[in-house]
Amino acid sequence: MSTPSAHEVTQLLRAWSSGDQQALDKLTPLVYEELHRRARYYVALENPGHIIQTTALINEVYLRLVDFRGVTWQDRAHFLAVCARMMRRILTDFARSRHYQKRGGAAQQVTFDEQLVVASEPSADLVALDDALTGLASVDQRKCQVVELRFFGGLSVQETAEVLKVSEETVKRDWRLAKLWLLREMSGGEERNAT
Amino acid sequence: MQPERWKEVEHLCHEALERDEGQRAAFLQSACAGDDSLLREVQSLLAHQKQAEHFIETPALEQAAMDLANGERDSHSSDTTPRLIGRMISHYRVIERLGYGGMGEVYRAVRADDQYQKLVALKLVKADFDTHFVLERFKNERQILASLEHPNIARLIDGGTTGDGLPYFVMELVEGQPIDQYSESHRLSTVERLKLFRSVCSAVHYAHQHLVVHRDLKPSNIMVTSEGVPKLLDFGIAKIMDAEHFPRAIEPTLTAMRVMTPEYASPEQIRGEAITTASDVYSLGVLLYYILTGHLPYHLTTRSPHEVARAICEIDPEKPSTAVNRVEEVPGADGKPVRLTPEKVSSTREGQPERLRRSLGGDLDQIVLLAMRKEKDRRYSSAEQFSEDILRHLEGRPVLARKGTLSYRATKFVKRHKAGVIAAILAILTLIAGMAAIVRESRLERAQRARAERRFNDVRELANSLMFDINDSIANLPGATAARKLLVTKALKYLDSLASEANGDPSLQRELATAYQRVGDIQGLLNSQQNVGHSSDALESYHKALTIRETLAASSGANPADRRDLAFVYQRLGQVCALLNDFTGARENDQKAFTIYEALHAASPNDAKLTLSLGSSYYALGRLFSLNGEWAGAVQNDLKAIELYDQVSRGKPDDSTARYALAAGYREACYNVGKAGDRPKALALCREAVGINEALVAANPNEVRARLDLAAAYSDLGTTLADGADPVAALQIWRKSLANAESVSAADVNNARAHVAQALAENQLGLLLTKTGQSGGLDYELKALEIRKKLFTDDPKNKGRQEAVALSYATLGDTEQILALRPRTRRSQQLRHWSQARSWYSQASESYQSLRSGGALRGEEAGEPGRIAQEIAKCDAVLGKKQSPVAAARAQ
Repeated sequence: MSTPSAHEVTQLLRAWSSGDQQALDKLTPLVYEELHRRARYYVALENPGHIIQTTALINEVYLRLVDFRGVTWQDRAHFLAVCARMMRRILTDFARSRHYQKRGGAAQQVTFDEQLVVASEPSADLVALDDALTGLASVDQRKCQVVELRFFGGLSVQETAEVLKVSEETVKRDWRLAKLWLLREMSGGEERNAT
Repeated sequence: MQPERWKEVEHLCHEALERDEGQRAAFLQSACAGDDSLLREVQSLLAHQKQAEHFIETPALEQAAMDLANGERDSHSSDTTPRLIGRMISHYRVIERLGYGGMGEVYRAVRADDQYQKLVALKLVKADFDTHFVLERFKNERQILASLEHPNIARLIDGGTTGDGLPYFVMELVEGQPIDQYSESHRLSTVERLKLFRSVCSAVHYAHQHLVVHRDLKPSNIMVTSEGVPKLLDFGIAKIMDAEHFPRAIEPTLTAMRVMTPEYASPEQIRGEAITTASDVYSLGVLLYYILTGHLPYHLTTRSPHEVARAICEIDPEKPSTAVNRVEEVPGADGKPVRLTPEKVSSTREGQPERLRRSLGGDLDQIVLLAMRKEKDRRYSSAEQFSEDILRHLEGRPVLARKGTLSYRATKFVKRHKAGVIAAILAILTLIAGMAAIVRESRLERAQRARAERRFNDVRELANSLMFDINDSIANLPGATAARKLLVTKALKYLDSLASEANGDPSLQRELATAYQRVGDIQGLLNSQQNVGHSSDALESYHKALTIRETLAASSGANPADRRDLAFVYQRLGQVCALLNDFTGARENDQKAFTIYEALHAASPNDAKLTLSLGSSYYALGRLFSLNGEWAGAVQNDLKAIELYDQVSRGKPDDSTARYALAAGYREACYNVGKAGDRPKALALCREAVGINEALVAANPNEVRARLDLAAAYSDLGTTLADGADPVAALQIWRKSLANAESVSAADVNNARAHVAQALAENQLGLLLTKTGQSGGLDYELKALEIRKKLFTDDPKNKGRQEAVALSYATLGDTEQILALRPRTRRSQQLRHWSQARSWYSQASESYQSLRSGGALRGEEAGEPGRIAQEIAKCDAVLGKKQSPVAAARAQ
């Protein structure tokens, strides 16, 4: 399959958001390619914990994939939400297909440099997270969206607030509580109050 | 769950999280008030608070890519190791692997054909890198790197490609500990750490002199041998291995992304800008910070790459002496978290936290922070300078780091300025001169625009503070005029350079215009307390201000304040034109100011400031009538001014501005009414002025303006009394006037207004003494003449001063004549007096002549030259001389 142009990606995203499931199949390779590009980049480094970038990664990806010129400003919020949802679907499927398991703990130390300066976060199990997120949506739809936009969409608090048309403070509070809720959900066995 | 119930849970979670951990349980108990299921729900959520800090903070795509990378790396490294051990790479036999990472692997190796079996470190570059590029870069750099011979630098010995075509570097093998671990395990004191660090600086400086920048200084690259000698590893390798050049390199859209050890990376590295020796100085600063405190500079709540980047580029690190108070968990050498506390970091350093804090506070705080400045040109200029400052600290000498800051200088200035105004101003000026030069230079470089703007604002701020804060703070300090002259000269230079940059920035233009006005005020206005007596320079400054104000007032964005400011400049111009005897110019400007003020006042009649301004416009116009000898017109305007001043003064009895103005109005009116011939009314007006001015002096006995205004009030009263044929009372008053003027001029030899007042008082006093038959009059008059001559020399275009000289000559002539005519004066003495009188008169005549030819002989004095000519003729007649043709012609 030839690589779709940025304009075509835009069309595909539109099609997918209006229910065309096949559109997602055409988008998936693009995200995979990006994923592997990033991975190669990290492999080439001495220490994956030492990675840093100043631009918002996901926004860069979108800019590369999507022809935003074809998108009106009013549409942009909707569009970012669609992108975030696409990321969630594709990355979760990817994790599932690789039998991607929760790793737990910090990334292994792989450098002869003794120090791990920036600690890697414990990786979230994307499959479990996806399930938990579906559960969260039934309790609090907006908190689910906040997580989708921020974690899968890579949007900043400000951008998330713009997309959801709420204050940044609300986004921060939602984010804080959603994380607690998801962690509890993902920790499984713990008691839950099913009122 | 019911939405209402969920809302309640949510609310309680947030409330609880806002409290300290210790208080949460109690808070929830009472908030849930027996609702156990609610309590359990909230508690089960809060139980995950710790985990939540680092949960899903890195975007999913990035996290997935990292995990993917880790998986690949693991499989890669595990299968390469066995293949290499024991094998030969070029002349080197690989013995064992020391470590591995994303860039490649490091082996202990031995040069097999070497007589001494020398051990080396062999760094093998991974296949992922652009082999060709690395080799090319290595060839270019090799000579330079191999030439680095320094006891603290691990030498690059060799390099090439393996049989598989992989690049490798061979380096001096350093066995030891990274500098941070070495310092900890040897429990080095702060002083010992500083000495060790200075060796590192000397190595870095040496490399910089050989044009090699390390680019990746961090503890793991600085090994300390068991003898305590630090050795820097990997000099120049970072450049060869530039992260931009690995396979299928990142696309141009992603060039902003850079890879490095972020905590030690400088802001310019983070931003992907050019890396220079200053970047190494920054990394050295971070290194010193870490070694001295045990903490990294930025106190981060999460460790997401974004946050680290933002911190490095935007947040000012806290002082090392403060950082040691932190309690935080950091990843330890074995990957397990380590809890750092003040006690823990002190235990391997100075023992007690207090001792550690004291050892870091002051010099070391500033030294470390100076090395870590965000702007690279504000850091130490070299690793050597950095190291020398540490040496200065060790030797107890003052350090550079504490001298550099603006606030430091400013604080010093304020502290010192009362003691030595000139010295302090010179210090400030030196500072600004440097900054202005930097503005000019940096303007040339586009890449440094942001920096230039910052400097520009610094200069702007300083120029302003120079003209306002500093000038105001010394305004009433005796002896300040010389300092002010200097201030004016320098400030003008900066203002002119700022003016050329001010286009399109109204707020800056307003500032500039105001500053020019201030300069003008200081340069020349007679009724400004701070004047240094250069009217023509003042004119030039006011014109600069006028040009800016006219543009602003005419622009679309103009507001009433711009019009008011414009009127103000016109008024100032009017005043200074009058001083320079340009009455046409004065009237034009005053009229323009009046028109604007009148309109503005009509629109807001209750605006006290505007009312005063309009009053001052009437006053100025009155003054012009007066100078032209049109007394009635003058009085009319003066009374109008008095009415407006009085109105404000009654409304704000504590406002001295209005009181000063009102007194000035009365004085002016007194003079004009007196000239118009109504002496009783003039006397009444004078007394009003004296009353107000005396009260003002009583309230502010040390205020220059209060004293000089009172001197002026007395002189008007004295004149009126003398004219009213009460010379004895007049004499008393003139003495008081003189005392007030002298008190100021003695304290501040450069205060022109005080000298003018003093000369006037002495001149009048002298004449009155002589007229009342007393002696000593001539002495006063001669003193007055000396002062007036000097004043004229200082400001040769000031016609008023020239006229004052002429007046002094004439008064001296008059006095000699009176003395000649005194009864019981011997003939020979009489002749001497006549001869003296003639000589004074002829000098007066010359002065008037010059004034007249300059077109500047004002109405009131227009008759004086004629009188002088008659006096000369009288003298000649007495002395039996014939008039020379020249003198006769002059007398016409």
